[in-house]
Amino acid sequence: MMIEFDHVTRLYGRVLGVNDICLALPPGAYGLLGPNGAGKSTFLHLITGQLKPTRGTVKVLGMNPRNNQQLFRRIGFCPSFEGMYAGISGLNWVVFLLEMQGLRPAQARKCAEECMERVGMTDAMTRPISSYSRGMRQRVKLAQAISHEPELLILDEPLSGLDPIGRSQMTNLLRDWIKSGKSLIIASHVLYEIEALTQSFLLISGGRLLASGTAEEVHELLNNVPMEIHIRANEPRQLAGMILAASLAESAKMGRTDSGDELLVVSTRSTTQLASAIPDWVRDSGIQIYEMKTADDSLQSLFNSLMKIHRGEL
Amino acid sequence: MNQLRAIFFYEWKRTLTFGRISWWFLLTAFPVLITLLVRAEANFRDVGMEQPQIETVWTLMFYMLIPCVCCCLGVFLNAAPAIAGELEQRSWVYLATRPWGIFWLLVGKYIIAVVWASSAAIVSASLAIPLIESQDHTKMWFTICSISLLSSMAYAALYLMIGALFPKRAMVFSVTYTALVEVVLSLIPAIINRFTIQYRLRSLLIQWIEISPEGRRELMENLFFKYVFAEEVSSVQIVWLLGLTGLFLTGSIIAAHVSEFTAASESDV
Repeated sequence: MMIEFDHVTRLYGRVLGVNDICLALPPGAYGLLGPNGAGKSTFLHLITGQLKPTRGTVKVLGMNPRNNQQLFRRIGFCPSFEGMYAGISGLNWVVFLLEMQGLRPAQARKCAEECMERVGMTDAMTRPISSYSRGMRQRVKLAQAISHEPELLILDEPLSGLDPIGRSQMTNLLRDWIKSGKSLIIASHVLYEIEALTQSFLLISGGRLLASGTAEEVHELLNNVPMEIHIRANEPRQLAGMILAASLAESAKMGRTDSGDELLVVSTRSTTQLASAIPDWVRDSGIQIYEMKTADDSLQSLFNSLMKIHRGEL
Repeated sequence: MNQLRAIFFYEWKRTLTFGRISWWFLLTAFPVLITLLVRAEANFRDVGMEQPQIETVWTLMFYMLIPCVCCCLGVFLNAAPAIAGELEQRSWVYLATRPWGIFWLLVGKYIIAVVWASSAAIVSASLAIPLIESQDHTKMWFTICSISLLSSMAYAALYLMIGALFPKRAMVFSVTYTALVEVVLSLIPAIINRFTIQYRLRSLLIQWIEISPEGRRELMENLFFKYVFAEEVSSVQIVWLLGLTGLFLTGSIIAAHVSEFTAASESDV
């Protein structure tokens, strides 16, 4: 197994980082998906040996990752934060870390130059890191993680801050990485970022591993989980009655927006049918809809629902 | 050794900032300025002191100014924030996930601290000692420089360990420890003072200082001095100092490996 978690719990004082996670992942590419504060960084720090579990055991490539010098030769880690020496150039930063990996200076420089080319940083690689844009820094972070050709690449939000072109280049680079047969774990709170790279997901929220599986299984899960839709209209009560009469919602309740307007909150598993029916009702009844949106366009609503399923509330 | 070379090279580059260089010159200049002031104001011969006694006074003053103040401050500025600095700029994880990264990081930073402080001490001794009248400038220079090197090595290891144990309050704990243990405790005439760096450095100075056998015997027969200086030969003091250095360095490496210095805070779990 590439990664094994056996009832792993990690506490920060009274705050839960991860809670009783059990999993066994064979080599491959996995997306670690969860909203902010879900426990993704704790998960990654546990597999890179930066944290030790409060309870349970963690194994990476068959070894305990904590202070494991042998393992550190076989993994590459790209943290979510920057933390690079700002005064030196991107190239020298990668050379420095390759030398820390044990490479001789000439060999380290050669590898670093190749790697900077792979991440599209050749033109700017001799400039100081302090002069780089956020996207350029992300590329340098990725370069240092892949430069020693690790077996397992661990990336924490590697695409944040990249422009669309940079995002596409990095995605292609990571696809090539996966095609070459190497393993990857990528943490993100954006589904499509991960979907573009791998079909295997781990869904984490509130420190718990809520679900795991392929993209189809996650979409299936999305379809089965009630979605909360907020509708602002001139006759919200009348609209609620029509939705419930058509059995297109599990529940409908009235709320208020921040500005004090009435708000219809609908919980539905039939989002497509509801979206098709509403234009007809609007045309026939004269109801005016000012705004209609899901409660959260990120994955937070899905995770909230999964959390409720996990607790047996749904 | 590639790792040590890399750490040394990059850390050395980081010491070449305006602030660090200014501190180096300040530390170097401080003993020279004090020597000039004392030489201008004090007239030892007027109070009936002979040349050997005058030289003893100067040596003691140089000991206080160079190995005690210059070296201690020098290594304090470099070694105490060694880990805190990496944690604050969040570069720790990049090094901690490299094979023996933490070990080489600490050893590299330790060597930089020793080189930085002892070079300031040696330059300072080279400038200050020729300013005084002495029958043997070379011996005095060699004594002060040797003690400075040992002082830098021992205190750098001590501050590195304090920095590894208490990274968030490294400077405060280092100052408190120095004041309580290395200043107060080392002067308490009891067995406990033998475990301080200052006691060993002081004893080494007494062994190497130009002093007559009668004077040394008188010194050791004094009940107070008997307990604040060791009678053993200099090689014993050197072994003690190297032992303490090794102990503190090992302690700092173990502490850094045992501690969890992750940048992930409770807010970004």
